[in-house]
Amino acid sequence: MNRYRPRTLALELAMIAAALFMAFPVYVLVNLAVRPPSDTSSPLSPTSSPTLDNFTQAWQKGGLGGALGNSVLVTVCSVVVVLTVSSLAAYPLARVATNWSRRAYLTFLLGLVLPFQLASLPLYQTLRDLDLLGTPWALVLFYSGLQVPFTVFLYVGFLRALPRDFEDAAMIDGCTPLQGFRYVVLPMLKPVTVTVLVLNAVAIWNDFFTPLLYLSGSDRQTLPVAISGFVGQYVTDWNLIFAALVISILPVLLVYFLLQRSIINGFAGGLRG
Amino acid sequence: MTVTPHKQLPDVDRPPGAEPAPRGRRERTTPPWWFALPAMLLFAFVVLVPSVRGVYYAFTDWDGLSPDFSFVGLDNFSEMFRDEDARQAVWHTLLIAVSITVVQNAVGLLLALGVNSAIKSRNVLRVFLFAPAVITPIVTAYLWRNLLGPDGAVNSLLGAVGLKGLQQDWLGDPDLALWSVVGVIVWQFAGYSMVIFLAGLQSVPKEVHEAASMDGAGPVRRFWSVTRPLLAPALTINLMLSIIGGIKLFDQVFALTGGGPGHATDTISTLIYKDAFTLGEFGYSIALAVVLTIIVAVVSTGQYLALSRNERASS
Amino acid sequence: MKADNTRPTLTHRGTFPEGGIMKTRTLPVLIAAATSVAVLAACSGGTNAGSDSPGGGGGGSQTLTLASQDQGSIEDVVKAFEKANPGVKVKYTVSGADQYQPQIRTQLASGTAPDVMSVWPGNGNPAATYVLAKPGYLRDLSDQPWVNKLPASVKSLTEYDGKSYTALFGLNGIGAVYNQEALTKAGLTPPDTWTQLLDFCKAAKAKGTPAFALGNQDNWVTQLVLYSLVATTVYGDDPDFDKQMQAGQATFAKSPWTTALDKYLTMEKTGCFQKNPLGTSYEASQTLAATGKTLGIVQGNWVIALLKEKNPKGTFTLKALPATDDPAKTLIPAAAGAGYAVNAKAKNPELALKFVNFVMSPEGMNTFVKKQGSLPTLSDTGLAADPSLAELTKFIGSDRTVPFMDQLWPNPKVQATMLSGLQEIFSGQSTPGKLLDEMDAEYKSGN
Repeated sequence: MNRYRPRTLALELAMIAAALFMAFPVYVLVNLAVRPPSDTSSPLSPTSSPTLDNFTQAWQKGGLGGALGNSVLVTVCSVVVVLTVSSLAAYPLARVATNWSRRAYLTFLLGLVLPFQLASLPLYQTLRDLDLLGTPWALVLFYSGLQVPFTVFLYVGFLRALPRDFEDAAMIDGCTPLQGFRYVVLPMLKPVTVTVLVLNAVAIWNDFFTPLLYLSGSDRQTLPVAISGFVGQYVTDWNLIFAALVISILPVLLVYFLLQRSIINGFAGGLRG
Repeated sequence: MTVTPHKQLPDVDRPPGAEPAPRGRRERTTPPWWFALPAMLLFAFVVLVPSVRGVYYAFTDWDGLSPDFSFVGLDNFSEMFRDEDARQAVWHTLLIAVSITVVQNAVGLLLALGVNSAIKSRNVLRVFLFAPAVITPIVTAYLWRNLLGPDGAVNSLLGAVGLKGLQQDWLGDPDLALWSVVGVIVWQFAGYSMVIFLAGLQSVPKEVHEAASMDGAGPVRRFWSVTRPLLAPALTINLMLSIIGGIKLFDQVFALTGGGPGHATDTISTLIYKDAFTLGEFGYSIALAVVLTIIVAVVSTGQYLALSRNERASS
Repeated sequence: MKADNTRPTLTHRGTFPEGGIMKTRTLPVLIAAATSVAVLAACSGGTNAGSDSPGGGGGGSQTLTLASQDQGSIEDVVKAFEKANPGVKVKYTVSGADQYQPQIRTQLASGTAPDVMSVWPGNGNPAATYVLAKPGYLRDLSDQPWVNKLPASVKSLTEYDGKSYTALFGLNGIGAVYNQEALTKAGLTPPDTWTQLLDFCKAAKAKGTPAFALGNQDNWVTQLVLYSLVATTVYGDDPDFDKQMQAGQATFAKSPWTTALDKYLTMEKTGCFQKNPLGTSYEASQTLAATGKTLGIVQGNWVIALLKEKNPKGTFTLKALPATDDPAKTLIPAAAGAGYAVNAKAKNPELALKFVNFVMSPEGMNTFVKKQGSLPTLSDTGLAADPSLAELTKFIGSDRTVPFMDQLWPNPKVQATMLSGLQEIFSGQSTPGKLLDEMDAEYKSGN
């Protein structure tokens, strides 16, 4: 398995072919984004006169700068809140074997099942009453609650597989439960935290319909909403649209490339416990 | 280094705290219940309470606009049985969810086995193959809508490699549109499944493989008797995520086909949207959402129970 | 190759406490850093949002809130309005119709709607005048000076229960938009009769450039050819068809709607359209017509501006689509596009009225119609008619137009049924008879 044999070479080639196949749409995306509108040749052939004009135009016309800022703000704040409250909640849920703990855990799991359409309008009206509509805080509050079930689910599963000896030792040494959590449990949760962080960040960054509703009537849009409005407005100009799409993908891909090792390891760690 | 291959999955049916087995006679400490309070409050405020309030509309004839509406009991639910569109949508939803679950995980597993081998490009490939999963779904939908057009890149590519006969009207042909949607989802999320499987594969200790190899077991046999049982937890997570995601699927269908042509790709979620906002039948749409909840709950619980039994059996 | 170096290194739980805390210090630090940056950014943003939010009430605030679906043209009108009213700030949002309609309904139902909003004429659409005025969300504009200057056919579309609610500024027509260069190249001239139309299609197809581009993937496009044919076949002989429908004396299934639908399918069979209309989007259909891959496109006049964007050198003209062999009987579907209405609970009603009246002033109206490529609803704006719309202008002037059919339907379901039904007919999943029966059923279900 560890030696490089002819069969491994064949596998290598097959895998590269698969990756190229997967990357094909992205190639078309970039190829169309860098060609001038006058170039109407096949989307397959690389353009003869590449240009970055589409990007500058898309950036200005789409107001993508502001949207990018809003997306970053909403994503960072929500992820911080979700991770904090969920890891804290997972600790007793994984460690206490009483009825309330079991029921509370099942209640959280119910959240995985509920479709967002049910809560959407009543929550809209609550946020209206709190005067949060049209502000990013409406979204931060929304995602902070919405992502709790999924996050608790992963944290509890991970924690249950961990031995509790260290916590017990810490308690005997006189730690308060909060200190025990902070200095003993939290460090042990690190692998799964990376996983949970990435999954939450991607989900929040990419969400479309909630920001569409909760930020409508304000000029503070998130990136997917700005992109969708842009697509509607410049529907004739695919070069421009594709440039906007590339801009919207870039930050996420960049973060992913930078973090990919700990992300994949985090998945592994998160799964293994 | 001790290896704890699995059992880290949350087990609803196992009393929490029953594990790990107590070692020695140390004093048990229990974290206080109020640790769960902030999360519970947020969750209740954002999801639980609004959902319960939302369910109320399922029993009304509200149009989503007027100040007044009346209570109609179970009318919306009985209407559903007469509504051909709703029946079709339920069928499409299940069809999409099941096909995505099967294909995405099959592809994901093959990719995971591929990049878990000795090939040189494995680290690069891990990145490339996972990349589509982080792209905004609405963006991938716009992209594919263009690629799958009659003169789009997919047909051009088929033409260029001499497969003109395979050129199709991918999103316009009602028999094909649903499968095109499934294809796009699989393209996007196969890498996601791959990463989770990869994590599972890496928990298979190398020594076990080497021992099996020395015993003369071939790769297929090694996979079946050594790797497969240890993949069970990864499989559980993958299947749960893809089936729930598949049933709730909305953004991609909405942006790719809008449920069309005709109703050929309408799912419960796209129907909820149309009924609520373009047809002014808000009450009915919430009744559909209630049905969606029930379907997700039944399917995921059933799947979960089956998988955890299987997991226990294979370990 | 021995150890797989990507194997996770974080499995050494047993090594705590030596490495554990040290190792994980970075994460909280990162989180803390990220949080403080975010909070900083948020605070500056937060104040911003606070000061913008209306509802201060005191001191006659000079901010108008506006929600529009006129992408690409509202921007100029707002600029002109702000210029004409120094000190006034318009806070507006623009979105496409399919995003706009759910948004405005939710906002109206929750009391968060802006002062002025886009509203469609007549009925039959989720944000149409009739639909929004009925529950009392719109302010009565009957006393505004422009109301009685509107042509009767347009005025009726601003009304619910005898009162006017919507400032309709632009007229649109549906017809065959021809690419002149492509016509010349093919050596063909636009047809005036149904028989000529079919011959035209055959000749065009033989030359390898089909007559019309059809983007039926976007389901609203499916109705345009049908509306053009219905205008002449249904309303040519029976101008009061809608009144009979409303009185329950007529049905779609037993009217010349069957003839029109039949002709639509005859056009498809004759090869009037390019291949795979169901896989072709609105945008793709424009490309076909703009670049001469088809000789034209059956669309609204708004498409001309879009075609010119794709092919700045092209010449495009709108002609009526014939449906019978008597050219004198041909009618064009033409009606007002979406206009603006005032929220009954507007926070700044005076400014809202001012804006609506600006839209109906020659300056506002001309800015809109020039950008959108439509015709003004009021005749005295002094705008020189666009030559590519000469035929439409002529038809409107001689009263040979019919409103868009859905604007007089009792609920949005009739149109929704028609749109998906047409897609189903094109894909062989449904039949004309079945579609018209379904439309009749929805029509009778009222509102």
